[in-house]
Amino acid sequence: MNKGLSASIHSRLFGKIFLSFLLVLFVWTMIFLAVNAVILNRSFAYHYNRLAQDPPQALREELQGMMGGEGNMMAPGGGQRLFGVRLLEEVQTLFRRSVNTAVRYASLAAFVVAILSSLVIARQLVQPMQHMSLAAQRIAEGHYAERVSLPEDLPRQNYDEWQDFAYQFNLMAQSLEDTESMRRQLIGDVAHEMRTPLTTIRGYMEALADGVMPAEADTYARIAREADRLQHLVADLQELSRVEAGAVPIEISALVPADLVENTMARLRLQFEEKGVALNARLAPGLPPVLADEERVHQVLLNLAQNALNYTPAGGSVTLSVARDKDQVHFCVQDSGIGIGAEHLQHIFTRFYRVDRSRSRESGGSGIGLTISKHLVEAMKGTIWAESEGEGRGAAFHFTLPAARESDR
Amino acid sequence: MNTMEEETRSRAKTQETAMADVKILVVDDERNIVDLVTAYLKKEDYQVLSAFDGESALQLARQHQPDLVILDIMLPRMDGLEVLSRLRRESDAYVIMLTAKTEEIDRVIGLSVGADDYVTKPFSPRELTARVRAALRRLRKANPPVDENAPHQVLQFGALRIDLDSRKVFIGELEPEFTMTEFDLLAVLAQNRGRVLSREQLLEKVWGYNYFGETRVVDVHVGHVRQKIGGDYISTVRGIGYRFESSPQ
Repeated sequence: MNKGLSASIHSRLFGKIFLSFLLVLFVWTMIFLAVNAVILNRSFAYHYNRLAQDPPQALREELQGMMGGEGNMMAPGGGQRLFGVRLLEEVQTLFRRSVNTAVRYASLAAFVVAILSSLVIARQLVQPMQHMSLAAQRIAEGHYAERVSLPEDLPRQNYDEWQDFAYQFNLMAQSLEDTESMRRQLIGDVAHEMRTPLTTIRGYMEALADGVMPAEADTYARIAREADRLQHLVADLQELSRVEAGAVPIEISALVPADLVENTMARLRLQFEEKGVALNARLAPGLPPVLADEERVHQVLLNLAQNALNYTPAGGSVTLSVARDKDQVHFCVQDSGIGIGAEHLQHIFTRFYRVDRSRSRESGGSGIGLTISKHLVEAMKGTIWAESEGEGRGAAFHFTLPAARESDR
Repeated sequence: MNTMEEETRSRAKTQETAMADVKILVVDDERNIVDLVTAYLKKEDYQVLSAFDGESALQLARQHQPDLVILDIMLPRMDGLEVLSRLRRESDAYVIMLTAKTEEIDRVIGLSVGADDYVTKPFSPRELTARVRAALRRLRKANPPVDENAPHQVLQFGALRIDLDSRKVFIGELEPEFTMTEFDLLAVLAQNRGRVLSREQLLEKVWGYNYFGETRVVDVHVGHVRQKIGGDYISTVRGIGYRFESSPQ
């Protein structure tokens, strides 16, 4: 209870409402006093005039008696006669009436002004809520750019509850807008990625039907390759949505880096030999085991190495190296390929981002492998980044994983 | 019966020799698509050149002066639109763009260096070939052997003069550049002045086909023609098509 009260008093909105009440009270009082002061004299004059024009009989007699003679003030009969009783009574009535009239008018005026000021204040208090409600409605209708306006010159720590609420509301709207635009972008990108294989499949089918393309192994193989591309795209998309939702189970265990590298190389050796690119490994001595999910690290290494292969021409080389970096183990996939321009480096992990949109189509990448790798490395409490000295000068992809301590082994 | 057959064969033969002279350049970075389109065009006995990137496309076009170019937008090194605008400066080859997105269409033919036609991916190679065939028919019609001494057929509307034989358009002393498609469109509209032509009719008369149901290309080219001759000559008849006004206000 006490705590609730002190919280209320510290609340800025509470202060505003409290001040509003005080303000109305103050306005009422001031108007009352002001109107009273102005009216009282007039009211007095009014009632005085009425009395003077038509005084009651008793007063008239009394006044006449008073006028009768100064010497008669003291009655000869001895006993004191009280003069002016009537007059006093009339003056009292006169005063009471004037005050009553003044109070009545002043109250009425103060009341009207208090109602008006209450209306204004109430509106002021309710308006932000209405704005927010309107904005929420607009957003629900799909206008994601809608925002509640906030005072620009007011520092954020001075916001009251409503303004704070509006601020949070705007943050929410922003995040909705971002999500929506990302969703649109994603759909556009996916549609684009699907179009090329679809064009080929459809066109070749038509060509086979028309007898334009020979019905032989090579033609079918081309169609099958395009279908594979679609299949990969679908698998990648599924994986992407799972890693983005954090729905990929990560089973951490202590892994020996040399084994990881060796497994990756074994898987890729054939592909590298086919293209004529050398694949090397460089392992620092005395490496500690890493804490990671074996399958996922493997996936990341494969992805990076394959990516390096895609962008390295025949005769080039790709090197997998592992070194210790304090309590982290640092993996690096370095290639002698076409490199990445500085302007592209920061976007390289963005899904579907391509340095040259048309170039990687022939290499079969869907543009989501790096995004998946990033999510996986981060899920294993590591970091991933890319470096390149520029186009034509090769690229290096780095990632770190936590090293196992003695106690973990 | 026999003679008829022979006649068709000989006609086919003359057409064949005509076809072999036609050079078509196919540009796409996707090898499969180039192969596919090439196979279709070879079947029609056209001479086909192919390129996989923008720079070599431009180089090939300069070397061989193709009559028709099939050009993808997304190309390595130089994108299709850049290739198109450079190509337009030195050649009036008929250009069909391959676009991946429908939003790109306006960009493609909306450019002042506009392509003559476009096809959206995934496209049907059969349809593409039909369009090529229609375009080449027009190309041949556009360059008929002209009798030098015969008087030129000229249409005159106020300041606008259309010389149908030399395929030139004059506005007063000015002679704006017209692409083949733009000229054909203007000529058809002017020859049918006062009559409303539907978009489908225009597609058929100008592009040589109307069976694909997409008429956006007509609107964009009418826009270009209007830009060149002023807006008063061609009026839009809502919901139907266009009409050439023989006496514009």
